[in-house]
Amino acid sequence: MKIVVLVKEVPDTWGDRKLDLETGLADRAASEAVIDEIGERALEVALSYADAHAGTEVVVLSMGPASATASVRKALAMGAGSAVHVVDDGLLGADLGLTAEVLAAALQRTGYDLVIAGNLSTDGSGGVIPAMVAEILGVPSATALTAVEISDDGVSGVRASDGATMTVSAALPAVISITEALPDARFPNFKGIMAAKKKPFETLSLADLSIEPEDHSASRSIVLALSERPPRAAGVKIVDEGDAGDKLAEFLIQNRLV
Amino acid sequence: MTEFAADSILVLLDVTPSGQLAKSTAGLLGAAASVGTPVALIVAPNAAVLASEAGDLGAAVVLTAEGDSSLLTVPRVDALAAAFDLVRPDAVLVSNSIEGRDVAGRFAARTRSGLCVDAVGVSRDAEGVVAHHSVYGGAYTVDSSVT
Repeated sequence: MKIVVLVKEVPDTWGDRKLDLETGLADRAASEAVIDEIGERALEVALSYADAHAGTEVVVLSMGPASATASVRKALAMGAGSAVHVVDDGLLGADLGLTAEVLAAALQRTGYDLVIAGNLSTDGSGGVIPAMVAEILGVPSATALTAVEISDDGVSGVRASDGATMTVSAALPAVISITEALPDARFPNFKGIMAAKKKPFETLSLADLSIEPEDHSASRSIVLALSERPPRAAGVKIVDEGDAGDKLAEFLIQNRLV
Repeated sequence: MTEFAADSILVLLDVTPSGQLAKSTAGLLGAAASVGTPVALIVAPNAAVLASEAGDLGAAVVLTAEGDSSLLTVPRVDALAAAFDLVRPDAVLVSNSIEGRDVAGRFAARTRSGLCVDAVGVSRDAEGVVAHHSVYGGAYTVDSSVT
């Protein structure tokens, strides 16, 4: 069984996240970069299956700038067997369509029985990549799973859909995405960190995947404009001089709050 | 053969497991009406019954398909792709729900269409339909469109 886990480096939600107002791209230097937590949970699903089933190969796959190597290495330290990192200047500002095409091409090259992804990233919060990748690969997708059962020839689980919970199953090969209802990831230990340095780490370019980023036969999404939220203005203070009630009522009426 | 308006916006309506139109319906049709003529698509075994309800909420035309409710996502993508070929809309609007996202992702990948996700509003400019987004928890407002 070969399980490929999709991970993404994102700005840490702990601090302020910034967009570059000139390029419209995420300002990666403005905040700490981490593996998106949902990707770590996806890796945990793969690793716990691998712990119980000898002969399971766990590969982490990521697309991101060269600076994301440290995050991908962390996934190796946590226990993944090998890593594939797609890095290319042509991917700067890649939209969802290009990202899905790159990930699908990398998956075809690496080979897979099961692909596990998080349901939604904390930065883009699109939540469409698993379905897009599955469509390009022509395999079933079971998204938003809150419980996962992997067997030799299939995957099943509980899917938290809109206003309903459903039990779903698919034959392998398949793509699944998981929600944060699944357990937290393990911490990399010292032995894992040392071992990670010797694990296979493949860096691929777009040429390796035969992908042309400026392919105009596909429609791509683009940023037209962006603006930063203005700082919050100071509030109104009402001092009670016997007429605070009236003033308060007036304020509420003025701001259409009643 | 129905003629579709040149400024048609194809709207995929979510249907709840109990067979009702989802709460997002009115909002989606309202947003579509602000940028064009809403053409709704309902994929459900009881789609014909829900069609008049969608009409009351502002759909100019309602397309229906039965779909196989035992299968996830793909039957709705097939129906959406068929409706897209029929209507040739300016844009497709899908609810940002668990089900909607999957359909939108697969549909965009299949047709190699540009995809604007997590939009909080739509408008129209000289070039076409523009999506508005609230990014990083509302810290930024971003407008996007497709090439």
